[in-house]
Amino acid sequence: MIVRKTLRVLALAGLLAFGGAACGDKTVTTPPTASAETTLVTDTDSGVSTVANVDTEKSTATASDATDDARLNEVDQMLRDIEADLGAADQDADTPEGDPTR
Amino acid sequence: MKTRFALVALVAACLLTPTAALAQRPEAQRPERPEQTERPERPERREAAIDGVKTRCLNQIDRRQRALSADKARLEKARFLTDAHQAALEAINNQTSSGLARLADVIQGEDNVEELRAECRQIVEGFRVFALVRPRSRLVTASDRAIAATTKLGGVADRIQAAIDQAKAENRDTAAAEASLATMRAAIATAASDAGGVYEAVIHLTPADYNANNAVLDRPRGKVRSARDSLKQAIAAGRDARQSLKASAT
Repeated sequence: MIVRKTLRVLALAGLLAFGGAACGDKTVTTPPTASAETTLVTDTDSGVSTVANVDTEKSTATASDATDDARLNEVDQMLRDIEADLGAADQDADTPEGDPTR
Repeated sequence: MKTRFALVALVAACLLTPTAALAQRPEAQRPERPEQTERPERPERREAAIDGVKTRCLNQIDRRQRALSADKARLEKARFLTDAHQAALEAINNQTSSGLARLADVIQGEDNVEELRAECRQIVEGFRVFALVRPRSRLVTASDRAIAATTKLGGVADRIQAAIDQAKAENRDTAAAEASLATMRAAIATAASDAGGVYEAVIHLTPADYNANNAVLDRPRGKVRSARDSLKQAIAAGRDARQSLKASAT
């Protein structure tokens, strides 16, 4: 009788231990979710949001610089085209029209 | 004595007679030779001369037609040329081209040398393809390009202004950037003013205007050059302003 009770208690304990271990593993192996990340950012809002703002400003400034660079380079190209037009106009004006009868 | 005189006279006569005969023979033949050869050649030579002039003149017309076609193709692809300006330049090219084609027909049927020479001179003086039509087309293209460039640079200047305002709000030193921006804006305004008047200055010019004053395109050409120089200055000032802003941030 005593042996039966002992075996039941051990079996129950074993089941509880297995179930607990399984639950623990599940907690550890669950990959982080989007909500977990969001929670992390909002939890540490002062530090993270400042970094995010700086990054945004930097990227905006960089994009602005790139746009201006592109526009200035485009105007540089237009200047070269104007130069070519002026050269061609000079060349035409210097072309001797002469007297076709001679 | 008489006998000696007679002998001398005989010898002299013998010597002189053949000489006189020789001298007379070419005189008698000279008028015949040219009459025999020139009379049938004159009309042929004249015709050949007319054909030669015609060929040269028609070649000159072809040369101008090719130049006008090349200009038309260039205008169709020209970026920043406004539609109205492109249409006006193409209309001039078309009128010039059809005028030259009509003149080619007249020259082809001409048989009077003097008339032909006068018609051939019209190829140059009546159309002025190389001295006026093509250079004008280039100047209008260049000035429209310059005007478009001032618009683009104006946009860059506005962005630099916004960056300066932001830097000021952050208590950064913006004096150098502001000075460069002022230089940039002044140069843009000068370029716009110079380039803006070119189209009206050249579009109504005729070959007769050029014949009366060969320097008729000099001033508009100078305006385009001036606009180009101002644009260079504006670009340099814009880059300086941006550099100053970057330096003030560090």
